[in-house]
Amino acid sequence: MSKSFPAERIRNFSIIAHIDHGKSTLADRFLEITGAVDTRNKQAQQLDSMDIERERGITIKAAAVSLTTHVNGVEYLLNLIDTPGHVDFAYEVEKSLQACEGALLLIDAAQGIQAQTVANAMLAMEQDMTIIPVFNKVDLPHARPEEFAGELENTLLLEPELALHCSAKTGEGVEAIIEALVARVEAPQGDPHAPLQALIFDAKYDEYRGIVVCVRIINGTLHKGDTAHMIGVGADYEAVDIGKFMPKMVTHDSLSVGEVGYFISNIKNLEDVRVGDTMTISKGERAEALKGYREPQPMVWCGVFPVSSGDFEDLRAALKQLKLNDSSIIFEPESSEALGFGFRCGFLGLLHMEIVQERLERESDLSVVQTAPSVPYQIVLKDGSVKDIHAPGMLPDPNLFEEIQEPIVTTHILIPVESIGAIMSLCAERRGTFLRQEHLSANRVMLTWDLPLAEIIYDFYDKLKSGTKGYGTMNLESPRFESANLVKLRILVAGNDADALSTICHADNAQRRGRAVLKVLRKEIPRHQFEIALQAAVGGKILARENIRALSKNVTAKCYGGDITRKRKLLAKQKEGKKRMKSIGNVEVPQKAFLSVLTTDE
Amino acid sequence: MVKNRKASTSLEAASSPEQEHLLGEGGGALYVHLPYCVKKCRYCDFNSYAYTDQNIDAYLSSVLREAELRAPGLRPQTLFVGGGTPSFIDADRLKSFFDNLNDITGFADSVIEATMEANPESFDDETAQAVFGAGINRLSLGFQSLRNDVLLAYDRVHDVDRSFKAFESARNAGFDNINIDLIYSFPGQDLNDWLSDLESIHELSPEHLSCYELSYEPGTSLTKLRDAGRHQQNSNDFAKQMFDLTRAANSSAGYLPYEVSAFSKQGRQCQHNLTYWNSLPYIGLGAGAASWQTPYRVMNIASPEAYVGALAASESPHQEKTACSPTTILFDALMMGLRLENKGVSFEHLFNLSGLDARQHYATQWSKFIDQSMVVFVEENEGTYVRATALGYLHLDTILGELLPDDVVLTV
Repeated sequence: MSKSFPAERIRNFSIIAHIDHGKSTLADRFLEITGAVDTRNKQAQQLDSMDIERERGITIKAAAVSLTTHVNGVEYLLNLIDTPGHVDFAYEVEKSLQACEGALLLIDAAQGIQAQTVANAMLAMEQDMTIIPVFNKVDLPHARPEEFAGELENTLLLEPELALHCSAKTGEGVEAIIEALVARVEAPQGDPHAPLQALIFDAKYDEYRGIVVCVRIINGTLHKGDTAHMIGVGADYEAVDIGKFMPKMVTHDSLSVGEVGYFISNIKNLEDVRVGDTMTISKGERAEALKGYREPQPMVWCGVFPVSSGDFEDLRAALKQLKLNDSSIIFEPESSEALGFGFRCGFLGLLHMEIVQERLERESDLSVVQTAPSVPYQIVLKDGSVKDIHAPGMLPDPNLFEEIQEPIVTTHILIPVESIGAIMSLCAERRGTFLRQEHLSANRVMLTWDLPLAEIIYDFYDKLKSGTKGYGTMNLESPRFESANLVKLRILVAGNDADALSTICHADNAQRRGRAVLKVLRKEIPRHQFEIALQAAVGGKILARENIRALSKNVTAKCYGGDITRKRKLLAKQKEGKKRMKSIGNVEVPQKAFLSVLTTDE
Repeated sequence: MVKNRKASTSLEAASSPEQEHLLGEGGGALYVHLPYCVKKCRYCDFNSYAYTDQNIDAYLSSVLREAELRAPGLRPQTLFVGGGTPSFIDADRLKSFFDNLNDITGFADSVIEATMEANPESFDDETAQAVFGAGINRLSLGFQSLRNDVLLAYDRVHDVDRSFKAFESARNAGFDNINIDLIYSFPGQDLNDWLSDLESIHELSPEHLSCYELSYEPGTSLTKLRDAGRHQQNSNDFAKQMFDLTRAANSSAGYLPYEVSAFSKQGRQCQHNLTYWNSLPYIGLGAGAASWQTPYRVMNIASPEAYVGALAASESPHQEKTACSPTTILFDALMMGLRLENKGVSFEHLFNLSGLDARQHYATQWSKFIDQSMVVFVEENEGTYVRATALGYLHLDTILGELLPDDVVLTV
């Protein structure tokens, strides 16, 4: 089994790139080039390309891959550490970056730098990492690397002449990137004889092997068979198998300073491992925890209900299964008067919610109904204590609390100059606070606004895209809670509170929101034999009203001896339909009415 | 419904207690179904068939055979011959059919009312005289509309002139008890059109009027057209205006409403239909005919050919025979009885029919409906009646939806 690699010849790096800017292609090219020096592997590629395909699949899934390469006749170990592709907030990539000393800032030479890339690059610079800017797709006819190099200087203070040019597609310039990594990125610093201190930067559930924990050794050495101690979780696990991703998992006897690899210990539940936690040794002198660990907080919540009430347990099982792979999903049983039993689910953000939704549909084959997303609130009670709530029903009586705080996010929005007006007014409409405007180049500008997260999760991204002809990108910093003039919007049906339809919203938006809800209800509630008043109110103040006119008549014109059985069955059929209705006072409200309100983004 | 019991397949083996009960019932009401028509009307969902080359004699013989089996010496109080278009059958055949039916059941002497349905295009002096002479004493004429364009649009084969001629033939033959069937709320028809049509009918002075709002029954070609967006149904509000106008105009002309769609001059209510609405027993003969012999609902085979075939093979013509649970009997009785305007149905009668105390059984519903001014309890004729108010009467189906028992099995 391989020995530890000397730290001075290790380079740990990430690729920071916007989606579709060529990260995967470049990673594939690295694999090929570093594998190409090994003649035996070359043969293998030719013999069995299917295996290679599978390995590529692994590289996409793996959080890290270790490559060996020779530069000027010296062998180096390059550890490419993947950053999560879809993130809602910048801090989600922090753990991956912490495991590296350098990062390639990969920019599409035809499109320029994007908001999230800027944010991630800034994050990397805050950690004193070496940034190597690389313009990809320079073979494209409309590539403008020189122009965008100017943006680099304006946004990140990176010297334009340091930028490399490549085409990950053709392989042009890729060798030079490897040489730059070796030359510019610092070798990991650390003491192999100090107590073990390793960063857990990722963890994946593997059906056969349990949890695969991805670690970067900061100090000390991890040996196979050691009993490791997770400082944050406070649990001990034996190193049943350790090794590196080459890109297949290859067992090693030990991992030492600067090395990146996996740790397997029959851990069955992803909740037992925390990304960002520090691993040390159980017996003897323990290392200190690495700084900066932050428990991921769910910032977007929604209700998930089975369409058929009998599927409740299946839904619970499906969510549990998803949680094995993604411990940041939070779910708790929720009972809705309108939708029955389901779960209130918390996600890191909107993107995370969409990904989980997609997985739930694809992997479980369950029909679910999902309510519109909402954000968590902090309620400052009269006694000064703070209560977290994530459903309108949890809001205490208005007499009991001092104020409601909502999550505010500093948002960086990168747009073409001609869209400034449209996006400024969009942000203003969404209760934003303008912070600053920076010109990246003659054509592009970065706006920074503080925006309530509740406003962002209502189609803000779509509006940004349509307001910038698709060119706008945005990045969200970590949310913080701030006091806001928020109210509970009550919906009354024939004078009775429809609790399932109440929402928390900003006082300025209450009337608009109330009108929209009433409009939906007016359409969905069937006419009754009496007029139905629909009202939206805050406290006792009515903000909007609608009427559903009385049904004039509902009586069968002809009914004789031969019609009785058929008529009875017809009524039974209608009654079956009514089972899905919920009574609010004397009014029968169809489930569809609740759904239309709860799933509407307006 | 407790159970969906199929009838025994052989009439010879029909001596089960239920069957004896059926056969042994005397008096009551007798219905005879004659299913053939010239063509099928657009809105029609009856068990009726456009005539091509079916063997009418074989059908009539089969009905008589069924009468021999189920109603020998019945001496019914009322007879109703419906369809289809009974008048579609020629005068000689009809006369001989009624003579034979009379030989079996003795209806001509026993009935207080014997109605036959007729359509104007096939009802002339000859038929009028033939059936009047054979013991039919009430006629129900399917005018449907006094507008030729409407008649044409809904696939009726007669025109307005023909309707008036048919009425004249009936009077000339001696009929002094005539009903006219009308349909209203055709799209495009306005309130004034309808009012002037009603006034023309009032001038004609029949004894009874049935005015039906155009209904969209599942499966009819009219419903399909509407669902395909090629026919615009009148709004609910407009239908209500038509409904109110119909009642006002008929009442002021001396035709008093006594059921949702039925109006009559004093003392001329349809006795046979009252049997249905009062949930009293009846026997139905012919294809698709329904019978009610407490607690059994029997439905004959719908297809005339299959019906004829079953009787020819000495098999039961029953397609379905169901013993109704007390809750279903109670519900059915309310469904029918609440249709009777200014009357409703008495708790005593409901108890006699079902063995249940309806007042207690539906206590929650009654209190809600009384609160909503949908029904009232009225002491009358030494009984307590549950009766729909004017509001409730317009919303009978809403009321029934909440009275429907949970044990109704959805088999359709």
